[in-house]
Amino acid sequence: MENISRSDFIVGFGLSFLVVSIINAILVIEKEANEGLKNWMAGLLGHHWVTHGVFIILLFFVLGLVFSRIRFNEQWYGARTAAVILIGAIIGGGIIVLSPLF
Amino acid sequence: MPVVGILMAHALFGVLGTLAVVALFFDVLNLSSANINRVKKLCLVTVALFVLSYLAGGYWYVAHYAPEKALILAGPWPWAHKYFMEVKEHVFFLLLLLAFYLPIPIFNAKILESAGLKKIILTVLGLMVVLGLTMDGFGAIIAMGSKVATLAKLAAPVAGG
Repeated sequence: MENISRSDFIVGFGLSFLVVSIINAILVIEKEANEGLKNWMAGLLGHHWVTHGVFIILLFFVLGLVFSRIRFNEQWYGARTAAVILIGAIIGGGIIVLSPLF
Repeated sequence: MPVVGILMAHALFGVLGTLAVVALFFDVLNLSSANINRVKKLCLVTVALFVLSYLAGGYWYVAHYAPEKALILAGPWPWAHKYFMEVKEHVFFLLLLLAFYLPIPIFNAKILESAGLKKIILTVLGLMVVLGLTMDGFGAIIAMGSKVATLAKLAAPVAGG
C-alpha cells in the first residue's frame, strides 16, 4: 500500500470540497422537497441541520482521504486545484442561493 | 450565559474569523521566511474562530431560534427567515469546510517555494472573505427582520383598547 504524503491531501481535499459542496446543495433541495427525509434527519441527531452538518463534515474528511490516495501530476498543485475549489464554491453556493427562489 | 450572549459570540467569532482571513490574505501575498510562523499561527486562529462561530451559532439556532423564527415569519419581513436564514444556515458549511482545508496547504513544507500552493491558498482565502462577509450581511438582515417584527408587534393596536 502506498503511503499518503501531506502534499496528496492538497488535491484530495480540494476535490472533496468540490464534491461535498455539491452534495450539500443537493441535500438542501432534497430536504425541502422530501419531508420524510427532513424528519428522518431530525430524528437522527435531534435536528435536521445538526445531522446535515455532521454528515457534510464527515463526508468531507472521508472523501478527502479517499481522493488523497489518487496520484495526481504536478499540474494539480496550483491553478488546477484552485479552480476545482472555486468551481465547488460557485456551484454549491449558487444552487443554495438560487434554490429558495424556485 | 444569557441566550443573547451566545448569539453575539456567534457573530463576534465570525467577524473576527473574517478579519483574520483578510490579515492572512495579505500575509500570504507577501509570504517569506520572515512571516511564515505568523501565517501558520493565524491559520490555526482562523480555524478555531470559525469552529467556535459554528458551535455558538449552531447551538443558538437549534435551541433558541424557533420563537424568533415565528416572530419573523409573522412580521413584515418574513423573507428574512424564508430566504436569508435558509441560505445562511447551509452556505455556512462551505465556509467551515474551507477553514478545515486551509491548514493543509499552509502547513505544507513547500509553501515558501511553491507559487502553485500560494495560488491555492489565496483562492481559498478570497472565497472565505466573500463567504464571511456574506454571512455577516445575512445575519444583519435576519436580525433586522426580527427587529421590524418586534416593532410591528409593539405598534399594533391592542385588541379592545
